[in-house]
Formats: sequence, C-alpha cells, structure tokens
Amino acid sequence: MATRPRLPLGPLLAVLLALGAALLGGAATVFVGFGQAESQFSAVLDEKALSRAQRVRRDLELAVGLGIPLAEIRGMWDYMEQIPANDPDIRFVAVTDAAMQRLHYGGIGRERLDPLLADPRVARGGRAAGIEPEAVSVDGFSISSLPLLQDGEIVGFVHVAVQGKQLRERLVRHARGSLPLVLLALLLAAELAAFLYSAGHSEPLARLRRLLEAAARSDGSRFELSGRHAGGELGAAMFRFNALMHRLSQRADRFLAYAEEVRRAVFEAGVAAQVESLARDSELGSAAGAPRLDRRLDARRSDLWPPLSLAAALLSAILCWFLLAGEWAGLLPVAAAAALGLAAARLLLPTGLSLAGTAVLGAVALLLFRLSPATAPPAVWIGLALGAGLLGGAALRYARRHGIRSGGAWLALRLLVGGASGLLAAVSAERLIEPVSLAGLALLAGAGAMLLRPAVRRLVLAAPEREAAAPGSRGTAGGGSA
Amino acid sequence: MSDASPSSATRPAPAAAGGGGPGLRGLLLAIAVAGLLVGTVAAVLGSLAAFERTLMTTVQSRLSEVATEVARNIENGLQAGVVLEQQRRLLAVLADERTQAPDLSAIRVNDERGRILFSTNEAEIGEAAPLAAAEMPNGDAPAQWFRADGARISLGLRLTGLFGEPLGSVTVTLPADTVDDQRARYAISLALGAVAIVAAGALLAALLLALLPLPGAARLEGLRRRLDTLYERAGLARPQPSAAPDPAQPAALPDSLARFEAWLDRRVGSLGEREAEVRRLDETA
Repeated sequence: MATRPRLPLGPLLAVLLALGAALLGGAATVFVGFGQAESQFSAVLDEKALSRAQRVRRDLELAVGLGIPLAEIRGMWDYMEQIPANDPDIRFVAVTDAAMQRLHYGGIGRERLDPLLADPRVARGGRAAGIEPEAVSVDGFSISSLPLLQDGEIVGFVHVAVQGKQLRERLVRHARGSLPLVLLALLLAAELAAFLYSAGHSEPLARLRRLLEAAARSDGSRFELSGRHAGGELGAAMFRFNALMHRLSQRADRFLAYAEEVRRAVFEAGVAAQVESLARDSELGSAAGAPRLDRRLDARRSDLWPPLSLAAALLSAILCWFLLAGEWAGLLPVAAAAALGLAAARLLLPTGLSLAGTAVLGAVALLLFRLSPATAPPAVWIGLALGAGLLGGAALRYARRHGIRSGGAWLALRLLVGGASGLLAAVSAERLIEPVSLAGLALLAGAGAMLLRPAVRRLVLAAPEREAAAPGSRGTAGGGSA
Repeated sequence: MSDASPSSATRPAPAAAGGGGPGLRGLLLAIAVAGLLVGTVAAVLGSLAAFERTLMTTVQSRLSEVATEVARNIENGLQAGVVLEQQRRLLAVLADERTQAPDLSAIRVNDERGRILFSTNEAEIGEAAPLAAAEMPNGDAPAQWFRADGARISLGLRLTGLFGEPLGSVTVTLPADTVDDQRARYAISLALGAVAIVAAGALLAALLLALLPLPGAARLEGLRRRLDTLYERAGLARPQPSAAPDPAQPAALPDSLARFEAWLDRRVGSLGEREAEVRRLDETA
C-alpha cells in the first residue's frame, strides 16, 4: 500500500509558534506604545484647547466690551464651526452664559454637547480657571473652560474640548502606514522559525537516521560517524551513536590484535590456521585491521538558507528603491555588479575572502543607506549589489563543494522569501520616516546577520575541518561536538 | 598473554557530552523568543512612526493656529485700510502669541521680497528673512508650507491682499529640540516597555514549555536511552538478545533503530563467539 505524504507538522507548529509570539509581542507593544502616546499627547492637547479658548475669549470680550450682548453677536455660527473644521484636534467649541445655558457652539451636535455642559464639573472648572486653568475630563472629553468677563463680572464661559479617542484614531490611521513593516516582521519570524527548526531538529534527526541506516547496511569494514552534534537530547543521541561505533571498532581492534598474538604464540600450525580463520571472518574490520571510522563533515541544506535569502532581499530592495525613484538606467550597473559578485565568489575568490568583503561592503552600504537613490553615490548601490552577488555566489560555491542538492522548489522558495523581504523592507523605508526607516533596515540586516552567522562559521571553518577529517583518518568517537 | 575479553564491559557510558545543550524545549523557546523579538521590534518601529507623524501633525496645526491668527489680524488691518508695512499693532499681536506659546522661537511677517517687516525679535526687523529661496512665497507657492529640518520646524502662510495680490508671508518657527525631546521621551519609554514585554514573554514561554509535556522530546530521550543500552551491550562478552522496545517509552526513528539494533546484535554476537573460541584455543594450546 502506498504511504500518503505526511504533513510537516513540526515545522508548521514551529512557524505558528513564532507567528503567535510575534503577533502577541507586537500587539502588547502597540498597546503600551499607544497608551504612552496618549498620555504624552494629552498635556499637549489640553494646552492647545486652552490656547484656543483664550483666543475665543479675546474675540468675544472685544464684542462684549463694545456693548453687544453675548447671545446676539453676529456671525457666531460660522466662527464657531470653523474652529473644529480647521483644527482636527478640537472636538467642540461652546459659549454659554453665566448660568451655563448654551448660546453658541461648533463641532459635535447639541444632543451630545448639552449633557457634557450640564456636568457640574465643567462649571466649576470654568469658575476656577480665573485662578488656575485646568482641563476637566467628562465622558472621554477633556474640556478647558474660561470665564468671559465684563467689568469684572462673569457673563459667560468659553469651553473648548479635545478627545483622547480622536488621538487614538489618528495614531491608528498613521500606524496603518506600517503595514508593510508588519508583513515583513511576520515573514521574518516565519522564516527564522523554519530555519531554526530545520537547522536545530529536522536536519540532525535526518542525519542520525542516515547514519543508522548506513551502519545497518555496512559490511563492517567502515563506519560513518556524525561530524557535528546538536545540543540537547538529539545531540546526546548522536554522541551515543558515535561512542557506540567507536567502542565496537575498539573491541574489533582488540580482538584482532589478540588473535594475532595467539596465532604467533601457538606451536601447532592447525590451531594457528584456525585462529587466523576466526580473525579473518570476524565480520568486523577488513584485511587492513579494525573498522575504519569516517567522520562526516555534515554540510547541510540550511547552510544555504541565510546567504541566499539575504542576497535575494538585498537585490530586491535595491530594485524596489530604484523603481520608486524612477531611475531605470541606474539598474544596469547594479545588475552588472551583482553578476560580477556572483562570478567572483563562484570562480575567483576564496570563500573566506568573499565573505569578509561582503561584510565590509554591507556595513559601508548600510551606513549610507539613508540616502535616496537620487542622491546616493552610485558606489553605494554598486557595493550593495556586489555584496548580494558575493553572498549568492558564496552560497552556491559552498553547495557545489559539499555536494548539497537543493530542489528547484526549495531554491525558488528561498529566493521568493528573500525577494519579498527586500520588497517589504524597501516599501517600509519609503513609507516611514527617516530614523525609523534606518532602524527598519537595521532590523532586516540584524535578522540577516543572525541567519548568516552559522553559515559564516561553517564557510570559514569548513576547509580545515574537512582536511582534518579526511577519509582514512581515524576519528575519535564523540570527540567533537559542534 | 593479553586478554581480548572486553575490559570495558562494565565501564559506564561516557558522560552526556553533546547533550548539554538546550534540546527541543530550548529550540522551541528560541523560536518563540525570536518571533517575540521580531514582532516587538516591528511594533516599536511602527509605533514610533505613528507617534512621529501624529506629533508632526499636532505641531503643524499648532503653528498653523498661530500663523492663521496673525494673518487674520493682518486681514482686519487691511480691511481697515492700513497697509501691511504700517500695521504697527502687529508687534503687540506677535508678542501676545509668543506669550501664549513660549516655546516658539520666532514669529515673523515678511513682505513679498523676503524682508522682515515684523518679528517677535525686533532686532531682525528690516533684515532678509532667514529662509531658503525655495521657501520664499511667490505666485506659485502653496498657501501654506511646512518644513522640518535639522534645527527648526517652520510653518509659513502666504499673505494676499484684498484683491489677491501677493503681500508676503507669516512664518512661525519652533526649535526642533522641543519635538526631539518629546520623541526621545517616547522612544525611551517605548523601548523600556518593549524590553519588559520581551522579557516577560520569554519567561512565560519558558514556563509553559517547562510544564507542558512534549512528546517529541520524550521520543528523542527514548532514542538516547536505547543507544545507551546498545552502547552497554556492545561491551558485553556475552551479549544478550535485544528485548522488545517498551511501548511506554517510544523512541524516535523506530524503524531505522530496529534495523540497526538487529545488525549490531548479529555483529556483536558473532564477535563474542569468536573471542570465546580464540580464548579456548589459546588455553588449549
């Protein structure tokens, strides 16, 4: 019966875990951030409301001083309506007489306004304002009231209100511009989770399975050991496997040495031949001696993951920036630089040198990244493209050297994710303000660097390690845990 | 004569080197913390951007309010028949506005050539306005412009006469430090909040992972125990046949492990028999 392909539940759960954590962390931060912004803005808005109330009072006292009754000042409807219309922070402006009866208003409707003005705290606030003006909070409105004076007598009040809810709506409206950044963060979180799960669990487990299967199929003359170990339970299991194979090899070695010693010591030729036969057909080891232990280098597919994704991200970000700036002609040297970097990494440069060059180019380019394509020196973009090409080339060179086979779908997915990340990063940078866009790019670079770290270590350290563990050399069981 | 019998048969398995890492729980914790960190950093950046834009909108409307008030006074003066240059009353209006908003650095009224007619700083009256040529009002300039550069934030309002002819502009300037302080205060409090959220989230995730049973970790532990047992058996002079795996203690890679175990039993058994036979021949001889 054909076995149905199983859903990769482990990676799926890991990705869901990372996405859930990212969403929860993000939501909590936005909640805290908006609360802090509201509390910080409330004082500013109250000052603004008071300033507006003082202006209205000055105008009205001018009219009242000319002997015009407060209720009969002409043009008040337009005057009051214009204030909230011109300033979205002001929710309403109202003028009442000394008994708090509404005379003129603008902003919210009467049905909502009258209950607010009827609140005794508003009148108290207005009377106290002569000594120390202070906003009064009623039903979510922060109302600043000032008394209108004629010959030292209170003839009415001016009330100006702001509302925290409106501020929150504005914050939310502005935060919507960060949607590409949110998508980028979710994509990075998912990518990180998949990478960590693959590098820390799936691949080591698959490697151990391959080692067990290879041992079970072997003729006993040669055993393969794990070259590097993960931590935790899986690392301990791999370590035990290495130790077991090493013990088996040592025991075979001791037996062969003992048999040889006996064969030489006995005088009867028949017994010597019998001992030799027993040693020769022992099913462990070969004519050359005990089983050979080969330590594998264990290059793995996830080593290619970070550099390929980062290279794709960089190239697509550059492309997006140039397209946004409408500079099609500038893409030609960028494409040439990327191709040059790719070729240099694959053909000419030693792996370590191309990586060091990439790091320097990346650092320089990041420092200058805040410049727009129109004003940035072409060297920045060419440097970035060269860096991306070097990264991609180094990854492909590594794959070729270590015989890593990556399916077309896997490669396409990595490039797609990297491309989408770069696109979203560029759009985020375009939408957000300068310091924040720089920080966003730093986020991308930081995440990329984090992904890159294991690959860099592998790429730089791979060659001497492989030479040290060249076939034929005896590995020591469990000797090196990576 | 030396003895080939496995002297290390009773030696315990090596210490759990290679197993000292965080394991599957640690890996899941790292994934959760990575997600938490990425989400929090993105939210911090988004919140900062939203705060920045809201702050600039508020500042712009505040400066616009002052400029509009001055422009309204100028219009009143023009309607009363006083030309702009002779509206001396504006000095008192500017001073009054400055008193209401002491954080403003300057309020200026320029003519259409950029010469300062009135200013809160009387010493600069008659000087050329400290504005770039591009900012100067002209026939094509927008009615209002807003600019935030390194040291100052400026808002300008174009002034027109009663028949629409250009008269000059009102410029209100605020030192950028005022806004920078607000931004820095917000950024610091948000960063502290974010650090607390990440720390609390990581702690909670660690607690949950420590308390929740993880079948995957148990299977890996079972695999390690089985390999431990095999290690011991590989050292025995007379290996015992493998016992059936305990269903209560499942191990990862059961099929591969079973095949490997069968192979190992066969090889170790054969080796043990040969060791015994050589020893017997040695003693006989």
